[in-house]
Amino acid sequence: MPDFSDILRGLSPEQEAVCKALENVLLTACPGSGKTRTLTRCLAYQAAQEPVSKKWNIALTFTNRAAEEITSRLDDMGIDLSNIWAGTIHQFCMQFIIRPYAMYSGRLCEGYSIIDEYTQGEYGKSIAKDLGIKLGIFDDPFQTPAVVTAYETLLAANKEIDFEMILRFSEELSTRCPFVCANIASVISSILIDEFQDTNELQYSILANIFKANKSIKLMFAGDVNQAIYGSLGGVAKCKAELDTLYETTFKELRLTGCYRSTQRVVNLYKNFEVSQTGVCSVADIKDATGTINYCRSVSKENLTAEIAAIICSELVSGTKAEEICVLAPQWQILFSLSRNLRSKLPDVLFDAPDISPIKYDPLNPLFLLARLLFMPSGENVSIRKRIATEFMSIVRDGLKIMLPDKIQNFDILSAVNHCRTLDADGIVCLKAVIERVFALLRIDINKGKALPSLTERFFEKIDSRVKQYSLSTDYDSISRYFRDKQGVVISTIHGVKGEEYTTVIAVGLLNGYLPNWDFIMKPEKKPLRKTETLKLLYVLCSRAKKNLYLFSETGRETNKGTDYTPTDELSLIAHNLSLSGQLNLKT
Amino acid sequence: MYLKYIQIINFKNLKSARFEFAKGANTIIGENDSGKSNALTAMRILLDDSYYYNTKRLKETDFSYTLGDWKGHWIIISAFFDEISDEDKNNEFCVELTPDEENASFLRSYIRCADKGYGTVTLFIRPCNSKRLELAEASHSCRFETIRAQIKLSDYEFFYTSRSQADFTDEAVYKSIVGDIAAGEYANPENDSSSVLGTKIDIISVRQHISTVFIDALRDVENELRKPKNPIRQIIDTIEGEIAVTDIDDIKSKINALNLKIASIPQITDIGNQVNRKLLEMIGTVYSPDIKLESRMKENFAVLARYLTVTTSDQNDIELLGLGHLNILYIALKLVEFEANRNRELLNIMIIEEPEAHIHTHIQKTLFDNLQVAHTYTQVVMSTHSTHISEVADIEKVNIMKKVNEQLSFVMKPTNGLDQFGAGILKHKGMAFTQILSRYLDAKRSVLLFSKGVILVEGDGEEILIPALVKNVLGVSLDEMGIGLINVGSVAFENVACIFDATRLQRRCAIITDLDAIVAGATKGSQEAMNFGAARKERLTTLFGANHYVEAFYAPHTLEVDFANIAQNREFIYAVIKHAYTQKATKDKLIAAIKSGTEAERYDAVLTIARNIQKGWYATLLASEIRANAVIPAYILDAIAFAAKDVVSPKLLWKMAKYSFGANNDLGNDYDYMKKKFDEAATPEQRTALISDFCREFPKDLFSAFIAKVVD
Repeated sequence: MPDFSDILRGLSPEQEAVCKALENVLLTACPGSGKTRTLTRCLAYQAAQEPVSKKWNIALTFTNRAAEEITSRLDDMGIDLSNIWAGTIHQFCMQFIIRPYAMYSGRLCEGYSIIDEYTQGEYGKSIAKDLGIKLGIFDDPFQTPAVVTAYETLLAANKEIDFEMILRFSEELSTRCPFVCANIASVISSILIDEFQDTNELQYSILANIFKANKSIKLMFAGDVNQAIYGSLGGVAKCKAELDTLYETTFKELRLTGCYRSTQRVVNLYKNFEVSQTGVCSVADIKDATGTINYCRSVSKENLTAEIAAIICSELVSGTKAEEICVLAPQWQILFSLSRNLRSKLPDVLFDAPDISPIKYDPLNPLFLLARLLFMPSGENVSIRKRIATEFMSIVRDGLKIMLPDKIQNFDILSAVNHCRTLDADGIVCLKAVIERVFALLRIDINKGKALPSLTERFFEKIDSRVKQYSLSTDYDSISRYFRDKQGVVISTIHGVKGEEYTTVIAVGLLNGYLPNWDFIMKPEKKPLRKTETLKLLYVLCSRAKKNLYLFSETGRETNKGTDYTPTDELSLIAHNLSLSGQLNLKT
Repeated sequence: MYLKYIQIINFKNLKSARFEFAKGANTIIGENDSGKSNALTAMRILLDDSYYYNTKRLKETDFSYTLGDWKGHWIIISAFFDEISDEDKNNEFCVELTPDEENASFLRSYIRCADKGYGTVTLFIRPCNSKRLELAEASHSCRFETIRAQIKLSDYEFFYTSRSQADFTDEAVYKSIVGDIAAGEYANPENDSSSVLGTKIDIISVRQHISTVFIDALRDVENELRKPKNPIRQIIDTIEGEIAVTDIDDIKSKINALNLKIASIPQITDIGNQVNRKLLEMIGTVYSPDIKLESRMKENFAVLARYLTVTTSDQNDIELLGLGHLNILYIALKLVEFEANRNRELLNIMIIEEPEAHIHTHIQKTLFDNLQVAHTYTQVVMSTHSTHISEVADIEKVNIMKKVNEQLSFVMKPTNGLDQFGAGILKHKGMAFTQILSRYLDAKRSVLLFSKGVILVEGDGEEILIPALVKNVLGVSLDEMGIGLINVGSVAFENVACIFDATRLQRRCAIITDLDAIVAGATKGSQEAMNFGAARKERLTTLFGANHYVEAFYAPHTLEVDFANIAQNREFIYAVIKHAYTQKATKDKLIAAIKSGTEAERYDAVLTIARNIQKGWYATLLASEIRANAVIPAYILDAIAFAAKDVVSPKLLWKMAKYSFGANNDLGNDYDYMKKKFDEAATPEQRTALISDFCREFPKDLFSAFIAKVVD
């Protein structure tokens, strides 16, 4: 177990101060300022304060991936993970509130299962249909209050809850039963909230209830107001004063301003998009490098692929690794055709594209876990595979409440899965065989009862629907591609690369209507947010780049009404100013 | 924090039992086979991590014998812990983190179910989900019994939860979660409500924070002390880390020296040399290794601890100690082990099975007294059938088991709701009624707690005379019947009688008291006593009229008078008078008054005698004169019959019948046939029939009267 000096080794004074702060902290972390690194060390430092204590040090992240990143970094440092817990707020609520205290909620005490967004969407559509509400393809059925009411009733009847309800019921339990918070709070030593700018009100409130039950818990909210791009999902970046009031304590404001990622030139560019001034400044090894910053408004939609292909080729030739290049767009729709075209244009280049896997990531679904075991490479990562198999068994036992034979171990599950690997060229056939074989091994009749048959039916229904909708191949090899580590040039939306960094970032579709989305231009309630929303997206986009940045507001894209899309206003404004100072190469 | 309740449902002979415990030392009292061990076992199944019990160990006989067919039924064991919370400490801004407090926090977070600070842990041994679903789907159909018959023990699962607050001893609650099996109805597992069953937990996490130690009824201590897992070794394992390094080093160096010394003994070195010589001869210098003999006594302390044993300071072999001392020694070792292993300040439960086994009675008392002062974080639960232990046990910390039959026992708590009764009904002020009673009962407690039926009397006269009457007239003693007679020494019967109640001790309690009515024309009676008598009757009727377990029986006048009013009894009184008085004139006068005086004269004469020689002494003299032909006054016979209602067995009745028949010496030849029958009757049926014949033939015999009252 490393000691304090090991834990703090190599941190900048700014970063070390964050770890050592005794107060509750509100941390503003600029892009590339080593936030994840600092948070990881903070957790380790916190856990090392009381080495024999079993109390939890908790890290709440925005994505599963971020949590996995933190855990694996701690693991690499040789930190004992037994009193550290990292996961999303939803996972936190499930583990610490819903599972142990569902008995105190009338709605949950008779059991519950969690439905994913797909099922939620399907319910919405079918309810709207039943109610005779006509919807366009892009209309959200949940905009209609009658649909929401019927949906809530349906879920209650099915004993189901959706993701949002996990937070809602947690908040309700934590407010109504003070002893629940007292119980939880008494076994927590610290809570660290990453990307707090994307935290929603329910999450703030749940954490406040817990904190107020034991104010010796050390809190840290870390994030960057400038990167708050999840406002549409309810994310609210609270300021110090608001946090002080809600948590009835005093937060100390700290900053990480040194950017280890980008050249000063890139930093200077994205500083233009700050909605809140941070004082960010490059401290990277490459801070004085010039790199390429290029804004192009003249390329047509048709020539875009060729233009980007040329940039990628020249970057690869100059020695940039494929993984260090990223192609971004504000929306998926633009990316689907672009990625198809790039692949045919550059058949020798690998792309890590926004492929839609026939099987959606869903770690709470036991069948997904079996699929993951089937399609991920066997023989490697045996410890992860065993963990997945164990997780599978515990969901079946605790979630589905099916008694498992004592003698079956995780490796029995693995060998059953491996047995089916080469049964058929079609992955779905293999998967069905795996499910059958594993449940036979566990002596479970898959057609018995209610929960398991409906789970299976829905699981394959969903796969089927995705395969049809996106014309996906289901052969074993293509499916297993999705379960491998990704390689090649990254193609993603702006939201999808939050927290990532690339030597070269190529962004397309920087047009009013895409960035910002039409909603912010047309909808009265969102109109006032247009400017900040645009700035934040541009900020996130530009701050991904270490050195090279190619921005495109391509021509030739037409709205439904047939008018041309225009370049994003805020970018035009900046582009003009910057081109005069010579920092941005305008290509006419 | 302490264990307050244990609920046990459907386990062995405990169909539905709830034990209540207090802090400190608690006892479970009961006759043999009443289920004391079963109760302790159930506690261990739930809380003791060294007691292995799982699906594989589950037996059909673990299910309540009264269920008939166990299939589909659940066994439920639930523990309720009180005072688990100390909010104040928890809310302090900078709470000092100690491992103990942290343990408390974790345990609380697992089991606490309310702000008030109590928590529960429950084990459900029930059929697995799929079987329950099959049964539920077959409810009310002809397939129900078919499916139920297919259930195997291996279909059962162990389901542990926390925070359940349900009262599983309530039949309605049981039916709501399990179903009404007798009615062919099974609850659907899909509708399981965690608000009743609680939250699923990993029981290991709870057991990590509560330590449970079990000391079993000892049968062979000597053997036990030689086993590898004996308490000494266990203690050494625990404390090894605390032994000073210098001591260990010292031992190590001494052992090394010893090893060297052994190796250097010439005869031993010589063996090495001899081996070397042989090797040389066999394989030559090139290949032969150089051999020497070494002593390798281990310097490892754990290995050395194997040689530790208990001995007496005067070097006597332990085998010479008496069994009793060995047992005490064993318990002492267990207590030291308990102290050494105890690492949880939160709660340590020590379960002791029958500590009295082989232990001398006076040591039992001392042992118990000393266990009582065990530290606040230690709770002791012991089972006993020793009256000595129960005598020292606090009545509030006693659970009594009542055996209904071989298949079923239940638990009674003598003080259940007693404080409320004392304050509300008896209008006691000040100290809690239970406490007062506890002190009051000090001496009589074991009679009260161990008797199957109780008779309360107001004075020495009754205490002495009634047992003599019963023994001489009915042919069995009150002890044999299991009836305890308690002299309350006053007329405050309600203070004791209130323990007998449907919610407390479900045993019969007969009160025998005098109405003290004065016979018209008599001069020795007291008007005041008569008034009190009437008031007393009214009060007892008000208090216990609705209580089926308590009934009062009134002597119209007083015991002495009502005894003398029966003509057949007078000869015994004459005998007493002849012994007690010296002057012939007085003797004659008194005898004459009793023999041929008016009722008022007899009344005055009896009271005069009783006063002259003191009631107690008079009763003693009378008791020694009484023969089988004495007549028990009706109200006393009624009282005995009432107290004996639940205790009379065919065996007892047979003994009484034989005695009564034999006591009738003047029957003549008419009853020879019956005498023959009495000699020959061997089967229970024959005996029962004969008892009926006897009652028909001699309806006026007291035994006949008694049996009529008992059976009615």
